[in-house]
Amino acid sequence: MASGKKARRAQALKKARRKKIAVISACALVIAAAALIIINSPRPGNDDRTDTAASITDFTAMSSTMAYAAINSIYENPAGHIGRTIRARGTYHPYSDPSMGQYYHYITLTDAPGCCPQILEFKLSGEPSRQDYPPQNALIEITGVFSSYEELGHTYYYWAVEDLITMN
Amino acid sequence: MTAMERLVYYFTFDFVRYAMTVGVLIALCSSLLGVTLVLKRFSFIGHGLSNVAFGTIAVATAANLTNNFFLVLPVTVISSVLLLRTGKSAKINGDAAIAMISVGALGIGYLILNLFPNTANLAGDVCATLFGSTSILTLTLTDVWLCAALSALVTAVFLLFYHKIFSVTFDEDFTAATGTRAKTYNLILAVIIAVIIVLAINLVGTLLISALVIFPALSAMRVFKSFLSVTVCSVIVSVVCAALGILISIFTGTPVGSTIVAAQIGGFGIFWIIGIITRR
Repeated sequence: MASGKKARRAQALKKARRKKIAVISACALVIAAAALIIINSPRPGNDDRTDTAASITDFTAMSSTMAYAAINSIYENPAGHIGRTIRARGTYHPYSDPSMGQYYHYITLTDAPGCCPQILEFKLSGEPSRQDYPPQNALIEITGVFSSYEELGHTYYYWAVEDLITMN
Repeated sequence: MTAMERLVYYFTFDFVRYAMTVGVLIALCSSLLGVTLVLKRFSFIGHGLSNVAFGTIAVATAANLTNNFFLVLPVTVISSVLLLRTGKSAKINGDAAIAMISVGALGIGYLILNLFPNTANLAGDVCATLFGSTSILTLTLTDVWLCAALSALVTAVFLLFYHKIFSVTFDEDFTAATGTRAKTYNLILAVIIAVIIVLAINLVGTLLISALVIFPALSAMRVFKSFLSVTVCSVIVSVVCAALGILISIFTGTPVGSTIVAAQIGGFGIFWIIGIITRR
């Protein structure tokens, strides 16, 4: 009788162990499938114009959280986004570097809590003067192409602005 | 653009897919252990360990480490083991030990960041780490793989040792008396909790991690009574609230961590009402 009980207990334990292994294997398969879907899904990039018919990533139509994350993803892999056109709205800030003898121009986009701004450098196309740019702290909307330039041996990324609108 | 078109458009961005995948996995893992922690009255261990992680992140930032994960994880694991293994013979009891380590790590961490600033926007970076405003949306593919692997490990360990975890949760002394190595399973729990805390920092930040652990378990307990049903319900609530929180956040521009917590509070309220109705 005791040996019968022992055998039944051993069988039950075996069954429970097989069930656990099956569940764990199922979880692993689900996670692997999810991972494959992530890797193989299309990504917006230089050649992937899934956003709009005009191929512009419009940050003004996104929430601030989404815009922050999208800009972050561009600067995580800047070389892969050269040629990408974006539209963004933010505050204009110039910076004068006396050692280089020129102005640098930035647009600041703030995220939801306002604690983590994204500061993007941009340049107007052509040969603009300082007067072609808006006043400091002006609210502006730019449409530009992601580009790069070399300076003092370093690569810098900026937005070559085709269209700048001063909102206030 | 309709809401559905906007949602489809947002999902073409890989960082949104990464955020949803990792968010769901973290919510799943944290809810599995949440039931155990609530029943063992260790609800605030998540808060304590997350502040330890914050302190470690501060040290890693000051030391200019490119990837702080490999410092944060072992330090948090060690702290978790020390906190959960102090037991009844400890000179400083469980809740006092958690409070001491929690505020100590938070204070020292912020002090280190101020003494050795390594970023132009210190306040912003601290805010993002504490509240997880956009961290989940800035993950790389490597981060996703790491989170997926650790989540799979946590889930596998929970499923493999489910019955032992159940025993240790409800009556540790009886479990030890029956010959089961309760201390070993407590150690396993401590390590899993630490792993989940380090993962969850990406989702909700260090200050809001306790919500991720507590609210799904408490919501499930309003309606269900058995350990298994509470655990399963807790997982479903946590995953749904995390997914909803991320979606609402990217649509409305609210911080991700706070939105997830708000969704969980809403879920708790709904289950509270269901509990009242079903008990009549």
